[in-house]
Amino acid sequence: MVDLVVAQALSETLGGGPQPDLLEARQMQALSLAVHIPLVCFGIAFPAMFLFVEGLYLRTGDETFKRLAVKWSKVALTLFAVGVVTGTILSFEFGLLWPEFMASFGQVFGIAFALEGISFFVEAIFMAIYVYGWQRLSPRVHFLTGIPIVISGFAGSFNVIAVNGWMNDPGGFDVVGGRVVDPRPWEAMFNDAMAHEVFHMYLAGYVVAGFIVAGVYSAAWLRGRRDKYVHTALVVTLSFACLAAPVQVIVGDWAARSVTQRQPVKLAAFEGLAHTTKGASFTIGGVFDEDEQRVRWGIEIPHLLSLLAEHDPNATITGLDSVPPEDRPPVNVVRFAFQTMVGIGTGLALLGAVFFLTWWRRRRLPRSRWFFRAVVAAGPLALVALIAGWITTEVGRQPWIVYEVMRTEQAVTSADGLETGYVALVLVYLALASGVLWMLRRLARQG
Amino acid sequence: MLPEICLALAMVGITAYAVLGSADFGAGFWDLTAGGARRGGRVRGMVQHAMSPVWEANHVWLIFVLVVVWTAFPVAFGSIFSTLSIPLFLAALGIIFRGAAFALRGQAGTIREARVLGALFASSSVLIPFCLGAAIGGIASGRVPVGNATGDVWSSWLNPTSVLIGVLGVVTGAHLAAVFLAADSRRAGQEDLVHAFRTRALGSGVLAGALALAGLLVVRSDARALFDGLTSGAGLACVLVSGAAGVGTLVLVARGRHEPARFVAAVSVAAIVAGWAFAQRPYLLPPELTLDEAAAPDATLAAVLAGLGIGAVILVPSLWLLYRLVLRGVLDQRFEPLDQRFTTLDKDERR
Amino acid sequence: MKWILAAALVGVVLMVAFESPLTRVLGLLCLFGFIVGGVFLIADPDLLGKEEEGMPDDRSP
Repeated sequence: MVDLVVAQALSETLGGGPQPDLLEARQMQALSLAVHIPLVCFGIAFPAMFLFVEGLYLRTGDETFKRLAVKWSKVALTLFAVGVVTGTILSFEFGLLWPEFMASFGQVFGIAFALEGISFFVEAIFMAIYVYGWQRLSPRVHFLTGIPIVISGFAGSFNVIAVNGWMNDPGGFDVVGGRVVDPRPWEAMFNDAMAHEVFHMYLAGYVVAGFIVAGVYSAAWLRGRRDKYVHTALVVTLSFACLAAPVQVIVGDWAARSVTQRQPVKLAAFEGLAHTTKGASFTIGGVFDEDEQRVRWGIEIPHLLSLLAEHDPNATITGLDSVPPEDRPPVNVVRFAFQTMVGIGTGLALLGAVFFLTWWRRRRLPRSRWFFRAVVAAGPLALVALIAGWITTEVGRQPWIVYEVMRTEQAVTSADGLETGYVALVLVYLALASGVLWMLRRLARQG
Repeated sequence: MLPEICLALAMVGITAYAVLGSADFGAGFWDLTAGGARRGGRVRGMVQHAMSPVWEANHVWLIFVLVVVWTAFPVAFGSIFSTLSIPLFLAALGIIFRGAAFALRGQAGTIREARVLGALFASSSVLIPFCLGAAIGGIASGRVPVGNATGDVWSSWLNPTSVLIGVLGVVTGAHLAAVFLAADSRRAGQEDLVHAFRTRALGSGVLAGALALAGLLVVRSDARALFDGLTSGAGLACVLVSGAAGVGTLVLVARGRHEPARFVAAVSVAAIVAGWAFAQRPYLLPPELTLDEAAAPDATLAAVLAGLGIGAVILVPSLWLLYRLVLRGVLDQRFEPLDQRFTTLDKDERR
Repeated sequence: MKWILAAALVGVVLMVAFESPLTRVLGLLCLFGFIVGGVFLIADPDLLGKEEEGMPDDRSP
């Protein structure tokens, strides 16, 4: 793709104005995303799981499988409903918090959301048909009505992430006289950051949803429930999550190399690399000291960063000093989030390897109680890694909302009083989270 | 031409949401006013029964409208959402409570839980249409200027036209819901509920009509340009069609012909939405931003049409399938008054 | 049975050693083949629910 030519700095389409509440706007958006994204994981991955279990029922006629599929589909519908509303909040917030961003660039990236709207529609329709059709549709037709859910779940996240990819790798428009002109929507949609982001998120959906559901049944297993129902639930969710987790490491490597090439400053923030360095070392842990411009108290492994980022131990890695200080993201937030994601992701991949190798050699689950305890912990940890990953990419893009084109402070609303909205939103989400957890506990107790 | 087609698409979405979404909000209104746990149990059971399979798909129309507007008319979108931030934020909070509480009520284990969740669901169902209606009133009465939050934070949505459209939104939703629920009750074989919803449909229909007529006077004094648009040319034609369909709905409901009443009631709402569009022509944000000025360049509009055109090939048959299955009762669960569900469970808990 | 491991290995090599879009697509296909094939092999209905025999005592540490 041809690099974007930005002749002049972008000016605000709606004419700017005072912007009192940038921090609150960013916090509200981050909070809403953090609430919505875990639900997206279930939208992506859970349908494939209950459809797989229904497939087992169709192959064997065993009612245990049907009971499990019915149960999961009901949970999925409730989570989908909550995802519908939290997703709606996100679309409202685009306008409520970032009117300048939407006014300038809605014409460029909006098409992806239009397609997402269609996917979302199809998902909602077939979700309803599937869950309410268990009694009266024939088994085969019923199974078929589940397939559009799986496809539209993927298509929906594909479209949304295409927009996020575009924010990191903007294209498909020109800036002339401070105005966004000549939008080329399809070019914007198929940007270079889209592919790895889509697959990274898609796999994350399977890892997160798989380990969370597996955790519920793993707890039951530890309490001594060893019947076919629990065994099936465990093996199915674990096989999805445990096979996806190691693959996620490979896709993560692809993502990191792509960031190295397109957003070197973001990579430098991941690693706390102040100066452009040949044969850069990788530092585990520690804190980035802004005054001294280096990571303190970390464990340094020579040449590893160059090796990981460029697959060459002596490659030159661009440092933060390649751009002026006002164009750098907050290093410690990004770096801590990145290390959290990588650390947990590696742990989950190892857990997956234990599961897979045990099955390979013995055709059964591991016997150690520690394995099941680890699975119980893996769900929440996967969730932490998911959120940390989004913090890595979103905060790592700062101070830009559209990378190197529009600064976040240019995008925000001029409306005052966001503090009130922020407090209200926090309370509402706390209520929502406790409601959902209450419901999931009740459903889990029912078995 | 392209801007008009894109606007028409947005209006289709608004109409669908104003019919299907409003009816779900109206169902919440009847849930709210159904009385105590025992007395309202049957009405609430029917609301749960009728809404469950369709409300999520109905809700997606709102998303559809948003994405079309922010892609095809980005400047208008930014101006509307920044000036009308308060009613839209309230609507957003209402949307969380409405959807989540309704979904969770389906999993409630005791009558007490069901009542708390039901109260949340039902009161939000009144809040959302009022706020969205008030926002539309702000746009239609010319109170949303182009700019980043440049309109008045309060008077843009707390003004006679806004309040009128907000209240009308609530009452119309209640009317649509009662018409639909009467038909659904007949399909479920619950004749006492058919009667109950028929009474509600007639009462709310008369009220909606009276409000609409009185409202014309309000609009006349508050937003003269809108009034002139609604009382001349295509706008007037739409208003007359809407009124006639409204009367037709009442006649059909009174005669117990509930299935055709659904469609005639929908025509009434569709006509008034179209009338609004004609009345403020050629403006998208009266009195300054015209449709052509607001529209994104043709490349974007063409992409929207192409994308939605391809999408429609999948979407339209899917929607058709859903509503066909619903209307044939294939997705119906066993009807159960809401309070009855817990009589056995409550005993279990006490044991 | 062995082919899912082969798919995983080929997928990893294609993803890590090359940079072109074609190898990425092939690599992703291999890796997704590994996941899907693996799920079908592991969650085999003949093996599900057959775990209880030979389980050690539940409450032992």
